[in-house]
Amino acid sequence: MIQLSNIERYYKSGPLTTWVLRDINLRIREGEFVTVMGPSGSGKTTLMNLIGMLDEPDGGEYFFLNEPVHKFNERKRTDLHKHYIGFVFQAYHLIDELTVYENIETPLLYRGVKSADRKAMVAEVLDRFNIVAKKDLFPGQLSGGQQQLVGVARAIIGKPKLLLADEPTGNLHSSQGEMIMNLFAQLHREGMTIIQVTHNENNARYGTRLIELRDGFVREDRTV
Amino acid sequence: MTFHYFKSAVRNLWKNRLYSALNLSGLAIGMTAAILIALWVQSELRFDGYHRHAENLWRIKTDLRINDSETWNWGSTPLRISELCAKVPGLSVTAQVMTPYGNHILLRRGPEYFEEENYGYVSANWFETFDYEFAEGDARGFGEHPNALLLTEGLARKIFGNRSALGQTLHLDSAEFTVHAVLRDPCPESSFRHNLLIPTEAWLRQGSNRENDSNWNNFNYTTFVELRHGTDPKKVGAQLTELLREAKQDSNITLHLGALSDLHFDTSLKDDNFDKGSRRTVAVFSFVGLLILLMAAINYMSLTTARAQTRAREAGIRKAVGGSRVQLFAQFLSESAVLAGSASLLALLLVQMSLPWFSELAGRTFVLPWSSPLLWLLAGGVLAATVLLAGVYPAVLLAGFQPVQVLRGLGGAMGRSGARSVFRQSLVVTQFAISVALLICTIVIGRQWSYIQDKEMGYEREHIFSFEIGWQQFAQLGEERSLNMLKTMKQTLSQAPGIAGVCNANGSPVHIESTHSGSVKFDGLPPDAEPAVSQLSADPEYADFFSLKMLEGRWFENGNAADVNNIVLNETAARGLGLHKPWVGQRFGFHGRDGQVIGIVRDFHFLPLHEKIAPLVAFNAPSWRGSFFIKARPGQHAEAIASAEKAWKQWFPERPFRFQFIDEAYNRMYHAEQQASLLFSLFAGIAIFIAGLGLFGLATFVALQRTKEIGIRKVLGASVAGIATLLAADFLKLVLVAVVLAVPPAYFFMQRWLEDFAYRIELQWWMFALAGLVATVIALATVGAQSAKAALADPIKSLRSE
Ligand SMILES: Nc1ncnc2c1ncn2[C@@H]1O[C@H](COP(=O)(O)OP(=O)(O)OP(=O)(O)O)[C@@H](O)[C@H]1O
Ligand SMILES: [Mg+2]
Repeated sequence: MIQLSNIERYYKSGPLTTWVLRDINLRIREGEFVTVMGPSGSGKTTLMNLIGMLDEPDGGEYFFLNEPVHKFNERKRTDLHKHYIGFVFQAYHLIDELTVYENIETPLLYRGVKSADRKAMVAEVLDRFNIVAKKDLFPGQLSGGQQQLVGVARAIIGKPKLLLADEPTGNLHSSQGEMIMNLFAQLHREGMTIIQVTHNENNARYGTRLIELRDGFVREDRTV
Repeated sequence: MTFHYFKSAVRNLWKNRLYSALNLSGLAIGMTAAILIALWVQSELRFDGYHRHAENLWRIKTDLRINDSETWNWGSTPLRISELCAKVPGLSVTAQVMTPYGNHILLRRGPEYFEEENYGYVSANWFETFDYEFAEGDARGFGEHPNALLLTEGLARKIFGNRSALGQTLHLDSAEFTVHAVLRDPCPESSFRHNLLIPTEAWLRQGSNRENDSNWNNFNYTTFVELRHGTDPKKVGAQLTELLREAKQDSNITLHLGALSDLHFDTSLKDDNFDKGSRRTVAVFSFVGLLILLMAAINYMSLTTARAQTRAREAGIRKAVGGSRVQLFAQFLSESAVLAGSASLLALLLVQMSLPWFSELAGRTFVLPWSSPLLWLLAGGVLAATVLLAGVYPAVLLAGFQPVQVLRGLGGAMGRSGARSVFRQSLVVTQFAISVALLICTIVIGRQWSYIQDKEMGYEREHIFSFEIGWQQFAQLGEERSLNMLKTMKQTLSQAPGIAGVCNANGSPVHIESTHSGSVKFDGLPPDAEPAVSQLSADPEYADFFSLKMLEGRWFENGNAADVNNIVLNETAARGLGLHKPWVGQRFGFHGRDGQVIGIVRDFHFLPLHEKIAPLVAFNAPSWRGSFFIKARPGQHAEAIASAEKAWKQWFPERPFRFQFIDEAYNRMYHAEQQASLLFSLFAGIAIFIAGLGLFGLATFVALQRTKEIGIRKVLGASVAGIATLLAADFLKLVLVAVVLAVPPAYFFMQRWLEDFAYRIELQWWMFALAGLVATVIALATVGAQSAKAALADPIKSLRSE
């Protein structure tokens, strides 16, 4: 499903070049549940952004479902992203101006899902996450953990083929975290490909494969 | 999706009420001003354009060469030009109108008399050539009845009240006329202001009129011709000139054609009384209207892009969850559309509300043609222009953000602080430069008008009113009785209650229009020179009455028989004509009388201040001096007017008494321009107000954005004053740049504008400095308040909320 060859990412500030990712070679098959770990600043978020097509590599090749993403323009990338990828951000990133309900609904709108279908899908997700009561609140009125829940709900509502989750349980109470991980495990069983970033060894156990990043290199890559 | 865009647009606008309100009011006020200007400009440009044949209609104009240096331009021709027109190929219709010189026409219905000033004798085909709207009846058969007349609703109401006027009889002198049809009142966009139209034939068969008017030397008919498609007007003019030269045996006359659409703008003619506009004023106002719209759009852009920084996060998330650039663009553009749409509706409402007031200000009735597609086209156009001008850039900017960058909190394209983006800085500078330039213009125009108002004209005009005796009345009385009438009238008036002084002349010093050339003779005048001079026929009281000052010699005296032939010159005449010195005592011939120069009067402004004082010859020969001037005793105006009316009724019992105060006549002379300058100041004020709104919004925003920076600075020990200065300084620098940019174009345009006045103020540095100061004060007031507020805020609070 995903094929990364010699991917590089760096930032230039003046004469200095800061390398964030170097020579990344990865192959991720459909149905895998990958955990990415590594110390802070090792490039995990950057890698997720690249895979999620929110960012472009400075070098190397990226094939998604055998399509050469590195050659695509923004419009085509958005299109792929829109239809196949769900993204959970480390910093939630909800839209402050929209209610919980509307935040969850947004990806469906962009995908052009019909109104009646949208209603049913949002209702189902709200129910599953147990946040029906909060649906008319704005993000500012939620706790950090609740906001993360909404972020996850938003990512999975479109039943993406690939779910990218950047520390989805970082701000959650352990029981809530467990609930999310169980949900991921279930989605994985249903066939969804998942890549998660985490610092938590327990969470890593839900995955089928572990990749460790260090200073922009893949240091370890093993199945569990 | 569309509904979603709309909903989120409304919600966003509501959430940021301050910006929305600033944006909305700026846009709405700008659009209102622009629409009002557009209405006015359109009505000016379409003057006389509503006639079906307008495009093919031309007026014959006459250039009469007086001497080598002077040509008189007339808008009229001899009556019999129509015979010549018939010989020119390509010319299909000739229609003529004539208003006898001087007086108002007197209509009688039973025992009652009515006077009408706006009337004309028109050829039989007039109503086939020009379009009129009829309230009752129509013009069919008009040409066949010399005793038919048409009047407007307004005049009909005056004469007949609420009864139908159609078919009623009216008398002009002894002749009986029938009301053939009732016209709608003249539309605002027509040069023809006649309330009463009578067939030329009715005029010609009176007395010796036909004989007089058949003379090739009488240029008193305004002649319009219709050209067949493709006919060259220049060629027609040349052909007519040739034909007229043959008929009149005179080679000093050139005829040419002026388009009907130019009737309203042609100010080159001596004798045409059509309501005049000015193309320059039209251009200036169109420009100001565009500037105002531009200001409103700039406001919108600078406020929206400033806010884009806060919106960037939203844009980034939306992209990350699958929004494409196009979808985001559509969303942000629909916000603009919602805002601009509401602004348009508000503007239409404001226009509707301000129309009566604007009509009065502009001296013309405007209506919003709600049913006209043009209005909606215009409104739609303005709306589309605003959305495109003001909405596209911010939308492109927002839609173009790289999601990862903005989500990482990097402004991306936005740079650091809201006020420091080069783009937004140039918007502020542009806005303020325009405002300062408009301010400079307002100041200069205001100074010029108060200069005109206060200028020592060289004569007195307080408490003085005048009434006129028309040439028909003189003609009725005959020469001898006329002179007797003038003498007794003056005597009666000078003894009547409430009256401090009387004099009799052919013109008031406010505006002496009568000119003459050809009979001036004095020693030293080159043999073939025929200088043109202004002429004044005045009695011995005139100089004292108007407090004219003598430079040398004396004014005319009562009982001095020689003064019948003597003349008084003004200073300009004495110098300009090249009279030998000593001026007083020189022999001087005028109108065939030989006398001497008995005095030189100090120059006084008897022409509008656009024109230089011209050479003036005053003479005292008893003649038909049509105007009486009466000085009322202070506080006794009513008595004086009553006395004058009584004296008038003794001689002309059937004619209504009409009078006017001469300072009103004076004010009327500058009325149009004063109005234009008033409107200009108004619109300039609006533009400046809009700029102020924008700056206020921007300042609020920047202060808000820099709360964190301000908080940290305060924790580190910065003073409130220091922080306020820091914030305000950014804007002040921009305003100063704007002032520097505004001065050269404003200087150039005002220099040009002033050149139109023969008497004018000098441009002085303080006018520019004052404009700069006002702009700075406005900027300081709007920015300063926001900066102070930000500087005073509790630092802990602002840091925590970050
Ligand atoms: N726009 C940028 N300019 C310069 N350096 C950047 C930029 N964005 C990220 N970096 C650098 O790239 C490196 C990797 O960042 P990244 O966010 O991928 O780390 P991470 O592994 O997700 O860390 P954490 O576990 O703390 O979330 C960091 O050292 C960061 O400083
Ligand atoms: Mg990270």
